[in-house]
Amino acid sequence: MKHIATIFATALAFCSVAFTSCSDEEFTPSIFNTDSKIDYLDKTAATFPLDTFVKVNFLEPYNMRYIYKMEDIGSDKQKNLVPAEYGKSVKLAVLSKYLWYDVYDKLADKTFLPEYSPRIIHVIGSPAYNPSTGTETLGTAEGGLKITLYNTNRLNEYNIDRLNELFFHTMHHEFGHILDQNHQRPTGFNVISNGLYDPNNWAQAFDSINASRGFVTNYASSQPREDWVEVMASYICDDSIRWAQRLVSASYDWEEIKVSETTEDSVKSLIGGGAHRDSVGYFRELGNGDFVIDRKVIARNANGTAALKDGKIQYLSKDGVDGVAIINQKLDMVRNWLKSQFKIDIDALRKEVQTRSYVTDTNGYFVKGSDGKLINKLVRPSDTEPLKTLMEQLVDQVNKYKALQAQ
Amino acid sequence: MALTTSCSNEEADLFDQSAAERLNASSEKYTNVLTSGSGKWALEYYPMPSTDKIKGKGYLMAVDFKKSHEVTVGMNNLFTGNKYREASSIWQVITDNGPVLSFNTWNDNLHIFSSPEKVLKDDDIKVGEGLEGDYEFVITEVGENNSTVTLKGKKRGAYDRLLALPDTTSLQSYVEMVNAFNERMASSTAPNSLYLLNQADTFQVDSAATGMFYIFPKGKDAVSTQTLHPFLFSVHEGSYWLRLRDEYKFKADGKSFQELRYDPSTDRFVSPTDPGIMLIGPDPVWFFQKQISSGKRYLLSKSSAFSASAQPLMDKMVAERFTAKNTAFTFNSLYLSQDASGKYLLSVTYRNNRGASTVFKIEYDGTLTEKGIALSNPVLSDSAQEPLYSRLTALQAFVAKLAGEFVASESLTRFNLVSIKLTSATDADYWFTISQN
Repeated sequence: MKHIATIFATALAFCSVAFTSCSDEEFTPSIFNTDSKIDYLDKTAATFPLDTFVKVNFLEPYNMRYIYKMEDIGSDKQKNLVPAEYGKSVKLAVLSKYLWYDVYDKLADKTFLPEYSPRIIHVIGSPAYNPSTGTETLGTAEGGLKITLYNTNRLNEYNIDRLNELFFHTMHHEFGHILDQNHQRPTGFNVISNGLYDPNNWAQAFDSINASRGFVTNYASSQPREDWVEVMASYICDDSIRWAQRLVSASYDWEEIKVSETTEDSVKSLIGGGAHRDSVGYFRELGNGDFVIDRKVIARNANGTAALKDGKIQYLSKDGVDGVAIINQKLDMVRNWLKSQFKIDIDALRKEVQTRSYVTDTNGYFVKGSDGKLINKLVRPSDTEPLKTLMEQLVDQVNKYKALQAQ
Repeated sequence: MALTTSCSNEEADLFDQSAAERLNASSEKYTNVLTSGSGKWALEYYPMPSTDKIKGKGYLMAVDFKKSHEVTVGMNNLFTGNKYREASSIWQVITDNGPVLSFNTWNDNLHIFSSPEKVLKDDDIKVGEGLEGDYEFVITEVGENNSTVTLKGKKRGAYDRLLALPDTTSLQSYVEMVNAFNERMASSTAPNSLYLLNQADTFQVDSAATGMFYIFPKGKDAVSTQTLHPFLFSVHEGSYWLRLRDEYKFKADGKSFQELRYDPSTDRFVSPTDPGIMLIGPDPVWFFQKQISSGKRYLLSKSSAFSASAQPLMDKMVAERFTAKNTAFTFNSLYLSQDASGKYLLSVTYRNNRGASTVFKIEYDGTLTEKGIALSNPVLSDSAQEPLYSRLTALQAFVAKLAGEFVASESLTRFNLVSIKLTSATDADYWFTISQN
C-alpha cells in the first residue's frame, strides 16, 4: 500500500510541472470513452453480449475490467499461453459474478468491492505450466490490482470439484492476496509453522504428511503468504465433507522408516502382500538407491506388527505437532482478520458460496448424492426455470444482450 | 526552469493526429484491409522460424475475417485427423508498437500451434512448450490491391503470409484444392528426387513430402552440404505456386528466389522474375531405366491406367480364368522386373478364393533404348505350366503385345515418378501405366 501511494504521488508531481510550463498547449481529442451516457460498445461485434455483460456487472459497479480477449502484453512472457474460448469466457464470467462478486456484494459493506475488487481479471485459456518443477500456476495476483486466471478452456460445470480446484479456490486464493496486499495479515501467522516451509520442494511433498504438520494443502507449505490464502480459500470452497477430511488427515502423525537393504524381500516384508500394511502411506526411492517408507505412527508390538486394541489400530502422536490444532489456529486468525479489517464473517461467506454451489433441501441442509458427496447445483434444474439448468440460466444473463443487437 | 523553456512552442507538430489517434487509425486501416473484398484469405503459417520437422514446416489454413470480428479458420492436416475442419473465434487488429493481427480468443484450429500442451505424440514436443507457434502477428506489409498481407509472428518471428481469395472460393474448396496439388507434387510415394536449376548449376532436392526441401549441390555429399527449406503451395493469379518460407540465395552468383510458378505445359516450377531458376522432376526415361536396372519391380494391376485401345485386352485378362484343384483362378497382378542374368521378367499371378496362387514367369530379351525399353522373344520359364498357359489366350495376347519397343514417360507428373507410362512406339494409342512396387 505504501509503495503504491508513492508511485501515485510521483505521477501527480510531474503533472503539476507540465501544467505550469505548457499552459497554452491544446489537448488532442481523447481516444477513451469518457461520456458515460453513450454506449460505445459495437452492437455488430460478435462479442457484444459478453462485452455488455462485463461492462454492466463488473466495470460500472466495481471498476473491474474482465479481459477475456487475451492480451499477450499483459501475460507472463515466460510461458506459452493461449487465449480462452469465447463460450468458456462467458461461463467463467457468470460464475465469477454468481460465486464471488454477488457473494461479497451480499455479505460485505457496499464500499468493499469498489475498494478492494481487482481492477483487472485476465482469463487465459491454457494452463500455465512450470516445466522445471512439474507444476502448474493456477492463478496470479499482482500489485493488489490484477488477477490472472488460467485453464479457462478446461472449465466444465459438470465437475464441480475441478471447478473449485481450477477456478473458485484460485479466485478466493488470489483475492486473498489482494486483501493481504491492502491490509497485511498478522505477523504472528508467519511463525506458527516456522521452519517447516519449503519453497523449493513443496510440490514433491505428500499432502497427508503436510496436513499432519498443519498445512491445509501442499502449496500452503511453500511459504507463509501462500499458507494464509490457502487457509482462507480452502475453508470457503471446501464443502463440509472435504474440510472434515482435511482435518482427519491432519490428525495423524507420521514416521519415516529407512529400508537398509534394497532387496525385494525386505521391501515386500514391509509393504508387500501378507505384510502388516496397516499404516503405510508412501514408498519413496531416494537418489542413492535406498528406499524410505512413510507410515502413520501407531502402537506396535515388539516384532513391529500393529498392536490392536479392541481389534482396532491405535494411532499415536510422536512429534508433538497437532496438525488439526494448528490448522484451526490459522483459520481463527484468518477469521478474526476478515472480521476486523473488512467486517466479513468467513463462516457466512462460506455458507453463501456453498449454498450457491450445492443442492439444499427445504430446510437448507445440504443433500448428498448416492456417492456420498454433495450435489452440484449448477447442472441441476434451476429453481425458477426448471427447464433450464442453473448454469444455462446464468449464461442467459449474457445471451439476453443479443436482443439489443437485433435492434 | 528548464522544463518551462522546453515547452515554449518551439516544436512543430509533425502529425495531424495524436499518437493514440494514429494507432487507432492504423488499427482501423488494417481491419478494413482484412475484411475488404471477400474477407477470405489463405494463411501460409509457420509456427517457428526453424527447420524442426514439425514446428518449422508450413501449414496451410484458409480464414474468413468478418466485420463482426468473428473469424473462421479451416484446415486439413494431421492435427485435424487429415480431414477438413473449420473452427470459429474472434480476431482483432490491436496496436502494440505497430498494428498486430491478434486471434485473441481460442480457435480449435489455429491455436493448436500455440498451445502449451503436448499436441502430438512426439518426443520433441513437450508439455509447457507445445509447437511454440504464434497467434499474434505484426502486420509488416500489405501488397498491391490488398492481394497479400505479410505477417511476422510476434514472439517467434516467423514470416507468414495472407493471400486474398476470391469470393467465389470457399475455404474448404481452397484448402482441398491445394492439398490435392500437394499430394500430387510432393507425395510421400514419390521415389525420385527433384532438381533446382539456376542457369548451369544443379541442386538436388529431396524429402519434398516432409514439407521441407533438403537442398544440396548435385553430386556432393548430402549430409555435409544440405540446407533445409520449408515451403507451401498456393493458388493465385490463376496458377499454382510454390513458396519457400525464406528466400533462397545461390552462393555462386547471389541470385535468389522465394516463389516459383507452376507451368503445367512444361511440368516445371519457374521463377517469375528469372526463367533460368526452376524446380523440375527427373527425366522419366532416365529414372525408369535406373530403377528397373537396379532391381526395382513395376506393378500392373486392375487399378493401373489404360488407354482406350489397351483397356479391352486388360478386361479380357481380368475376366479370364482357369480351374485347378476344383477352384477357379483369376488374374491378380503382373510385375515387370530385370533379373540377375539381365533378362526382363514378367511375373503374372493368378489367385483363387482360398488364397492359393499360381505365378507364370515369362522371360524376355530386352534393351534399354533412348526413349524407354525394347522387349522381345517372350518364353514361358516353366514349361510344365504350358498346358495351363495355353488356355489363357488374353494373357498370351498381352505377352505378345509387350514384345516391342515402349516409350517411358511420366504418368501424371515428373514430380512423382512412382508411376510410369509405357506407350507402344508403334502404336501411340496403346499405353498403360505401371507403378514401382
